[in-house]
Amino acid sequence: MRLLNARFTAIYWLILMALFTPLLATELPKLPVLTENDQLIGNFIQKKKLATFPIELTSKGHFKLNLHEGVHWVTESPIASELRLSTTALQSYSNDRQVLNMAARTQPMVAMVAEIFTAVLSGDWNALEAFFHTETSTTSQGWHVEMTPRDKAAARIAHAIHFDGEQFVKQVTLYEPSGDQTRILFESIQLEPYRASSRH
Amino acid sequence: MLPAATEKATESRQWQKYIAVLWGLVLVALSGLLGIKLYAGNTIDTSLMALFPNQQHNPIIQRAEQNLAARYSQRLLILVGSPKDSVARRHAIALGETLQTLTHVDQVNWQLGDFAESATSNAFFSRYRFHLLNASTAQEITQANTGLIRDRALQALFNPVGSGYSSALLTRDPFAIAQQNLTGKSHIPGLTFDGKMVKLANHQKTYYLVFVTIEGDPYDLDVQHQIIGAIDQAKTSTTNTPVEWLTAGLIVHAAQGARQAQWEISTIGVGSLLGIALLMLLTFRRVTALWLTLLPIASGCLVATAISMLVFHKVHLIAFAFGATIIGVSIDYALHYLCARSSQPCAAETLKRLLPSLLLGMMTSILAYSAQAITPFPGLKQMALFSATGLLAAGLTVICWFPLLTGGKHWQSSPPAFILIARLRPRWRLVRITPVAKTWLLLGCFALGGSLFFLRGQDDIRLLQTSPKTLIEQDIKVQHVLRQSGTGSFLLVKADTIERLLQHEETLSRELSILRQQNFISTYDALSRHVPSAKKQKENVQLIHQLYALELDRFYSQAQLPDTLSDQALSELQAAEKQHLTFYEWLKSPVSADDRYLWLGQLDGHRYSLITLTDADAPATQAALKQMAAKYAWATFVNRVDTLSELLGNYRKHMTLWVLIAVALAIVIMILRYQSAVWRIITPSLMGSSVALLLINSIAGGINLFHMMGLLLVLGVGLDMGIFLHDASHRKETWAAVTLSTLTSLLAFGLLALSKTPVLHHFGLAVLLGLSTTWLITPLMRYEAGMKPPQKEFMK
Repeated sequence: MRLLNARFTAIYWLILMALFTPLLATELPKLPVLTENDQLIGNFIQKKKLATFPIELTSKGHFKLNLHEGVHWVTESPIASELRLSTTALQSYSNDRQVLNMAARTQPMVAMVAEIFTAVLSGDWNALEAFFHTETSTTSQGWHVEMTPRDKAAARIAHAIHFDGEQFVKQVTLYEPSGDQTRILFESIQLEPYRASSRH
Repeated sequence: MLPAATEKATESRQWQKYIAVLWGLVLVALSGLLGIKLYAGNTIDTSLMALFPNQQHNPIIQRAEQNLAARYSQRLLILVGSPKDSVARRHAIALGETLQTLTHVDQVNWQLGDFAESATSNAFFSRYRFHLLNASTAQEITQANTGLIRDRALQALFNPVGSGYSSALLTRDPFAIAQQNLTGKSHIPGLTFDGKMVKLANHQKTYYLVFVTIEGDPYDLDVQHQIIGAIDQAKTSTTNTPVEWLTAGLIVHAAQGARQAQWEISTIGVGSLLGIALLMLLTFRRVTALWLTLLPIASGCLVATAISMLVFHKVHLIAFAFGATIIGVSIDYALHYLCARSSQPCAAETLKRLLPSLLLGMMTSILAYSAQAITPFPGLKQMALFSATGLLAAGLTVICWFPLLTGGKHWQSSPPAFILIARLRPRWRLVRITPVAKTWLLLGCFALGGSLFFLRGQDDIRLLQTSPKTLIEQDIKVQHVLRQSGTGSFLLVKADTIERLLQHEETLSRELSILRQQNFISTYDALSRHVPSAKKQKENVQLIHQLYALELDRFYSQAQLPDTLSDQALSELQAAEKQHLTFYEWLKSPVSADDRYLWLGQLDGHRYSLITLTDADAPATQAALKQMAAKYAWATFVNRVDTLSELLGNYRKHMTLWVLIAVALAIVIMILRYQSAVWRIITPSLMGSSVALLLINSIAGGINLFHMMGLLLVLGVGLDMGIFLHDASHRKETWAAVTLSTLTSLLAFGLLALSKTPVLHHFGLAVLLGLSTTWLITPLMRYEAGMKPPQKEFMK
């Protein structure tokens, strides 16, 4: 699980990075500067196409990102769950009950996430290129980025990750080795002034 | 010369020739035998266990130690640390890549075996996912905390990416039990994976692991040179950057030992050889004299090795090494002969005059050394035979060959060095024994003898460790952070069947888990953690049934999945539960490669296994483990440090006792010859030994086996000294011989006191202190000029 979580967070940041990427064809997109006074919020719809059953699992929720608390990824339906990632800890909650808690002090993976986080915010693609090959192209609607893993460990998580976007990213698709496909659609992303979170 | 005398001389010369040829034939025959023995191979024993008396010789403990040693000897763990993550990572990768190209490196891993995931191992563990249910999930079920398991599974299902939950799991293993089982395997705090590498971090530093499996013998100098050389090179490349290198593995210590030995051979060894050669050449001014002094030692070692191998089949390396040094005493015989020859016109006459002293000296020494043969310790028995036969052969070489080899007229010349040595002899001596002197002497002896009762034994094996403290501390640190089990102590479990064995282990596991919670130990490893007993596996499957009954329907409904999946999941559970994991299937599978050493096999109808412990060295922990094992007839707690220290102590006690008995016997024999004058012969060596013991006791904090071995040498040389001096009425040639023999022994063995290898240092210290004191006291025992020493002429 730890191994998978480490991978997960790496890709997770990748998606976030892509989320805040404005349209810039053929070149790796430049990222907006997130200051201490801002935070990014938005909604998502996730559709997971299963390889073994003719079923599509759909979940919905919202997310928030700022420099103080990191990212909150909140799934609202069909289950209620929340994932919090910051430079000091990784915590996940289900029905307000903590399911997972890893401190950066004992889990350096959390510190690594923070590193990638900084890399993303400062537009440092080198950190991510350690894990993935990147290919960027322009489409009639906007831009398309395809990422393929460099090593076997990363390939165990996904064969490929595709990003599509116009001004912001619109959709991320993950092709998993099991044959499952996860598509995340983003909606109403906006930059707003930072407000301290009330919980935790 | 009269014709009759000439005839007689020719006749005796003839005789001497026969004897010399005969002795030569014996030596040739024995070297032939030795050659055959050596050709057959496997005649030197190096196992420490071979030194235990037979009753204490436990083959299962031996097997356990072999398994642990094999594991430790082929592994090399390197942690590369730096405050900057990227710096540590870069250096670790660079080192790993360099090591990978070496011929003596089998493989370089970036992960410890336990964490290496592969498709085969995943398939294997996935097949037995329910039987191998891990302890923490099992606890969640028994403590009615199944909601948590469901929530975790749901979250994994809906996580956007990378939770490892694929749709194939939905009916096969909806609660991702297989994944949980794998998670439970790594319990190293601070350890994570960064890419393919294992990474460890604390407050200040990040460490990356390079895990090397060595191809070849870690004691092989080539192997050491290649691997340690590469690491040293990497280290020197970072001297100016704050990079920390931590290493653990037998090869590091072996290389350090070899380096130390090489350094000491090139300093102490060469120094003592040069010293002895220079001494001989300056004294006798003849190269042949140097060869002659070495000849008895060489032939003594040859005969001793051949006979020991005939008698014992295998000679222990330690017996060989110390036996050979004791044979070094025989340099005395050659020196006394050569010194006596220098003032004698005839070689045969020289031998005739020297023979009584030579025989008596040999007899007492052989007696002293062979006394150890009666002890129950195989090592001492071998040493006894080795040194006794060696001394005998060395003496015979002098008797049989020297008169012929020194027939030339030029051997009769008193070298100027003799006069110098005689001049340097202290002028003071014990004149006449007045009642006052007697009282003082007796009082002194009592004081010295009494103080011997305050000597302490110091047998802690850890004090004899060759490696420097920093290396040992690194080893402990690496083993601690990576939770590698130590080899110092372990538990043995015994049962009639495998199932029983695993059940016994599970009983101990419950107690060990408590000890772990109480921080007595960091962790432990046992077979049953990899293959639970059939009983336990059945219980685990029952727990899964319990989990399904409570949570399965809720899981599907919350995920908005069709409830038909529920029936499918149950039938897959029923299919999986039919076949549990058997011990032998696990043992044969490649997944057990890293853990097979825990299995010790069968002996006399019993099955045995090993439980390893991590961070179990604290005295409180040792006591707790001892207490725990004592509760069960089938469990044994083995502490190698204690066992080895106890062994050393027993050897020391036996050695001391038998040395005392041997000295007493030697005194009895000498009384037959010297009557009341015997005190003049034995006092120097006894006082020398006592003074040495007292000094060592205060310097080293106690006496150990190797001090006693040194004293054995002191007694041998010291008694010879007394006998020869007494018989020759303290003539200047004899004094020169005694001084030369002391100096050569001090150069050969006393210099070892400078060694950093503890065993050699202790041995050398005893020789240095004992022999020099003996030599200083000896001139005191001279008679006044004109006073005839009393002695029985029992040899004519």
